[in-house]
Parts: sequence; C-alpha cells; structure tokens
Amino acid sequence: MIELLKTYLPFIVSFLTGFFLINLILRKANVSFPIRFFLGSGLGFGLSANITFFSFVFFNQLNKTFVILVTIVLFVALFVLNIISWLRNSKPKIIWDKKYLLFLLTFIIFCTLFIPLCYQANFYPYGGWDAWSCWNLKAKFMFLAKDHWQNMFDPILWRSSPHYPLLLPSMNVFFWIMQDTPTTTGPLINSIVFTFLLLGLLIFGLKDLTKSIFSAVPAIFILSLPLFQKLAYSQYNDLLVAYFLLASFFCLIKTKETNLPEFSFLGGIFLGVLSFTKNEGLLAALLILLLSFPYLFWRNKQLSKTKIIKFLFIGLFLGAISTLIFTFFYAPKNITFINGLVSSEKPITLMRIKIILAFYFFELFTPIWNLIAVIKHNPKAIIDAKWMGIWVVTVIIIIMNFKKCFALKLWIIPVFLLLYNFIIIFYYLINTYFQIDWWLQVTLHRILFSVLPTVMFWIFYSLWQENKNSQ
Amino acid sequence: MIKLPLNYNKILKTLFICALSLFTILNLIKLKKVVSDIVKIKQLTNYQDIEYRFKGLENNLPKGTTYLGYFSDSDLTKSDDVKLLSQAQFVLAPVILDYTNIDHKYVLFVCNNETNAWKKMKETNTSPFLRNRYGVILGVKP
Repeated sequence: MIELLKTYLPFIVSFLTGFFLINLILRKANVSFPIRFFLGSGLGFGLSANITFFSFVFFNQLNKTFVILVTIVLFVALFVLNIISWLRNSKPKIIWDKKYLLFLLTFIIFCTLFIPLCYQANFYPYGGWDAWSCWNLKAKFMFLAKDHWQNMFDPILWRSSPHYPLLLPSMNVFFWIMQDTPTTTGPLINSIVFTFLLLGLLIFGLKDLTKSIFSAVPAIFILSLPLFQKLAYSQYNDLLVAYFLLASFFCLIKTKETNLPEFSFLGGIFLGVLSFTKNEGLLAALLILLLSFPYLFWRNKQLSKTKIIKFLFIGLFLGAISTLIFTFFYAPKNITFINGLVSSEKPITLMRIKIILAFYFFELFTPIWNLIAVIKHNPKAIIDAKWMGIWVVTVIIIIMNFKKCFALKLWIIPVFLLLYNFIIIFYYLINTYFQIDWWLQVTLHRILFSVLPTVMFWIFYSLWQENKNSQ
Repeated sequence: MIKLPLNYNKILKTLFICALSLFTILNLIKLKKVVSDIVKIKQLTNYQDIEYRFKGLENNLPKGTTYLGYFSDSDLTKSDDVKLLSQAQFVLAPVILDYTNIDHKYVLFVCNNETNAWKKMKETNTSPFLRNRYGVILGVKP
C-alpha cells in the first residue's frame, strides 16, 4: 500500500496542482471541465518537471526536500485560492442532452483501447531503445549521481544526445521523488498518462471547438494504430512533443476565438514547455511563436493586441525559463553534426536527397505503392502500411477542402507543418554525421507520430468548423 | 466561379469518418495479432528484461567510482553490440562506461566468448573483482 502511494502520489499531486492552476488562470473563461482536466494535467506535469530541474540549478544536485517543499507550498496555496475563487464565482451548470449518448459511447470505446496499450506497456517496462538509452538514462543520472549529475554531458555518451533538453528526465525524476531507487513504473505510467492526456485533449479540444458528436473518432483511430501504441508505450519524448504541440495550437485558436489574454498566456506557457522537450520541440516552439503574430492579428481588429502579446510573452518566459538556463549554462555542444554543405569528407550527395524523398514517400504513401504492386501483379513488393493510409486520406481531404483548411482560424497549423517538415528535411540533408537510411528509419516515423494528433485536429476542425455556429 | 453543391461538406465529412472507421477496424485486427504475439511470449517470460545480463553488478560496484573501462570482443559499430554496451550503461548509470579506454582502475569485460575476456585481463595485468552468472567480469588493476 505504501509502495503504491509512493508511486502514484507524485502523479496525483502534480495533476491537482496543474488543475488548480488552470482553474485560476481560466476563472473568467467559459471552459468545460474536460478541457481544464486535460490542459491542467499537462501544465501540472510540466510544472513539476521544472521544479525538479530547478533543484539542479540551485543545489547542483537533486534536493528532494526542496522539490517536495516547493510542491507542497504550491499545492496548498493553489488549493486555498481555488476554494476562494469557487466560493466567489457562480457554479457552472451541467446540461445533459440525449445526443451526448453517442459521444459517450465513442469515449468509452476510446478508453477500452487503453487495455491493449497497458498490456503491451507492461511487457516492455523499459520502453524502447531510445527511452532507456537516452531519456531514462539521463533520469537515472539526475536521480542517483548527486553532484556528478553533469557527467551525463560527457561526449562519450554521445549516443544519448547529451545536448537535448531535460523535460522528460526531470519529469521522471519527479515521479521517483518518494522512492529510494529509480523504478520502471514511473516512466511507464507517465507514458500511458500522457497518451491519455494527448488524445483526451484531441477529443475534447475538438468537442469544444466544433460541438460535434464525432469528435472522438480521430482519437479512436489514432489509438487503434499498432504503430502509435508502440511509440506511445516506448516512453519516448515524442509523446510530450505531440501533447505540448497540440496544447499550444488549441490555446492559440482559443485566443483568436475568445479574445481572452488568459489563453494567450497559457499558449505561451505551453510553447515554453514544448521548447524544453527536445530540439525538435524547440524548433516547433520558435516557429509557432513567429507564426502566432500574423495569425492572431492579421484581419482581426477585435483583439486587444498589446494585452495579448504581453500575456503571450509572460507565459512564454515562464514556460521557457528552464530551456534558457539549460541552453546557456548546461547544454554541451552537439557533436553529432557534420555540415554536409562544407564538409569535404562527408558532403551531401544526390543519393542522400533521393533517399530522403523516397523514405518520405514510402512512410506517407505506402498504400499507393501497394496499389501499384497489386496492379503490376507483384505481391512481393507489397509492404506493411504502418499508418494505414491516413496520410493519403489527409492529402485527399486537404485537396478537396483546400479553402477551409487554410481558413483564417486555422492557417497557422498547415503553414507550421509545412515549415517544420521543410526544416527537418533540410536538417536530414545537411547533417551528414549519420548514415541517412538508418537515421530516417529510426526517426522519421517518430516525427510523424508527434504531429499526427495535430494533423487530425486540423483536418477535423477544418471540416466541422461551421458546426458550432449552426448549433 | 464554380459553385459547390450544398452537401459537398457533408460528403467530405462522411468520407472522413468512414475512412477513419474502416482504418480503425483494420487497425484492431492488426492490433489483436500484436497482442496475441505478446501473450505467446509471456508464456516464456513475464516482461522484456534488458538488465539481466548485468544483474548483480550495479549494487556491488566500488564506492566513488564514476568511470569504468569497457572491453568487448565484438564490433561496436554493429547495432546488436552497441545495444549491449547501451544496456550496460543504463544498468550501471550513473557510472560512465568508457569504451575508448581500458586504462581505468576498473574495467568491465563483456565478451561473447569469455575466454577472450580472461586473455585480455592477463594481457593488461587485470585481476577479476566480480563476475556475474552471465560471464560479465569486472576487473581491477593493481
């Protein structure tokens, strides 16, 4: 019993802290309980990770007393403030409608799909290779090494990408805070919880914006994908990238919709936390930040520009403070980089470009390749459609629904996706340190995994965006 | 300008939901196979244990050691051999395994053929400090 408490209490406290915090931030906004739940949990986990990281900044080692004390003080203060706020404000009314039954049914199906996920996660308690050799290895250093924790930046450990930010390791250290030794349970539960938060946010984010009873369908599809389940229980950081990416977009869209600076503040925080996940997260956060200015203010006279920008930047600063400290004071140089544009030893070749494009084609459009193979009576050429044709359907919907996909409310997502992928392809091209086929084989599907929920959010919202007005 | 039929958006919505529903059914068939494969493996082992080869070493390392030398008779450019090194690194963290240098006081010998480990120990004047049941040896220099 005590062991169970030691494992689960940090999760519960972290979640409640985030939930109380988001209740305070959004006290004036009319936001449903599920949205507060799914945004609040992510915020709480991000906050706990940051508190843990600050222990290393202030004490040059994990100081459990500091982490626990700050967490308790924050928890109690936010709890009291929540009670006061709850007593002052009018209570939200729960309205029940028969049509919610279908939605409830789809949500139950969604929850059922967690059974195979948990079963698989239990069989692979260490997660995937990169989880234990990179993220959980770093967490172990942070938890056990005392003031030698910076040994994990030693170039000899280049395989664990020492230059990558520390959100996930810090989070896992927080989940071990009541234990004496690092266990596999913390990171395992974390991966399942974040899968639930990510897809829950997708469901209720779409429900909030479109009021559609079908809003759980994209999440059910994603969770039923064996590849998605594999990458989810693998305990990779890409799950966190996916969550904070979606949360950032949701908050920015809500800012535009409601004109409330509270949402831009939250969007800023999520962007900041996103930048602390990994280098791809940092790139994504910078791109979204740049795009958010034209997105929020172009053809929008209603928005109180100064206030929105001020709140966005305050949130961003608070969320990204760990990224700034890590980048400027701790992060070692990236030694897994050779600039193929100037290197005479490993220059960019035409073959490299061909391989990158071929990999993208096969990863995204396998069903088309398989169709050609069937037509040409070549069954040996058929390959496993890992993504089950979702990217083909996505492209078809984009073409057929082009105008709405790039509507005023939504264009930030496709423009971001284009720029993000373009930069990543460019990086694959110019960094000739790794053999390109191996590199693409182990990373490309993870990049697609981290953007898939956002893509589904975008496509669904583009199709149902007028739904809300007609309600 | 081409005028789109009124129910055009409805058709797209239906297409999207149908495609996702169909894919979900196909996914579930595939997922069932994945899970049943694990059920079969579970009859042999309860979970995938990446630490077993190095069991018994992590709690018996000399106190204050931050670096160990790492010797292997396999090719560390190959994926499987690197995996073993990474597993050892994960189990023994926060001690760092220096695979580029065996001049450290303590050296971990992880060999496919244990004879190679003993041969190397003799060559480098290293005596055994600890050996686990899987033939992984921690050697110490005088």
